[in-house]
Amino acid sequence: MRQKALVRAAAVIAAAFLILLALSAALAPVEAENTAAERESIFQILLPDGGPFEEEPYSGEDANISAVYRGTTGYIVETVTAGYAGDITMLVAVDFQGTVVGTVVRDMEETFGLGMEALSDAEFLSQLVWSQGDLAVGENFDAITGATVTSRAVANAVNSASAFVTGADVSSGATEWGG
Amino acid sequence: MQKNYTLNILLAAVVGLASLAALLCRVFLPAAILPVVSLPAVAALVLIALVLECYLTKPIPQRDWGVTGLLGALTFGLLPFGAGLTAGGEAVRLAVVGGAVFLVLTFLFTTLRERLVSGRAGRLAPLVTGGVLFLACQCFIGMVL
Repeated sequence: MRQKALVRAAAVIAAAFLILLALSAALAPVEAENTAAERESIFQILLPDGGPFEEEPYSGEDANISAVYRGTTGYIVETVTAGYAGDITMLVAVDFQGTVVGTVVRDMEETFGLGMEALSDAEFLSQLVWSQGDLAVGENFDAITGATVTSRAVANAVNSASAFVTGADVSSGATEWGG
Repeated sequence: MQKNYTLNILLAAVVGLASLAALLCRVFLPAAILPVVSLPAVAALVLIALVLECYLTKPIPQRDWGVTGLLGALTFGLLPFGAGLTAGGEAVRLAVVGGAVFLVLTFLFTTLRERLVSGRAGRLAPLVTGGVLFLACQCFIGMVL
């Protein structure tokens, strides 16, 4: 009886694992397609009329930059910076003059009600647009209340993206100020 | 008394459904920012399974703690891995941590369950106990980590 109960429990776990594995494999092409479509639509919002976008290999020294996409009116730079609770992944649109024209947070693990406000706080986010790699928390950039580390990470990301386009040294003040 | 593994079956159902939901969100809502697989999330899933078991089984089942823990670790190791939420070393880490959290919470909840008031007035007691235990877990994790 005990053996039977144990086998039943193990069988349920094995069945659930196999079902999830099969579903995951079956949906992989749909996931790739949806992810690409969603990325393209975000690119169009960040840099309207800036397409088509082509990924360029990034071989610079700035560890904040994880990918670079070149469009006809500017670049979209994917950044990964260290926040309070984990990495913050952002897409930053920068025109060819190095001016930030749009940003969006793609992934973060920050605290609800504090760092997570970086997703939607319009007053905070509006400070990022039209900046040129010179954001410094406490100087020309107001941090979210109670989320200074998150705000610095966001500022670092935007400064890095702008510095990539203008060619500024990543170890110069342009990116140091944010941290 | 006969030992049974209903709790492990319920845990597999809860973790499986959560993994399925995460998988579907990832596929069909790629812009959504999903909660990370963290200790509070693991604790929440375990507590849901424990509360369900409390409502579905009477009396309190006798447990084979070693096998129960092992099956719990397997559940946390395999199901998120199957859904593509974890990979490699992360899956092994989640299995170990998830199994340990499962054992500790099962012990605590079972101990509390033995003292819960039964009958009409105590219908919500398991649910409230699970909720309070979750808040206690969050506080403890916040202090330790």
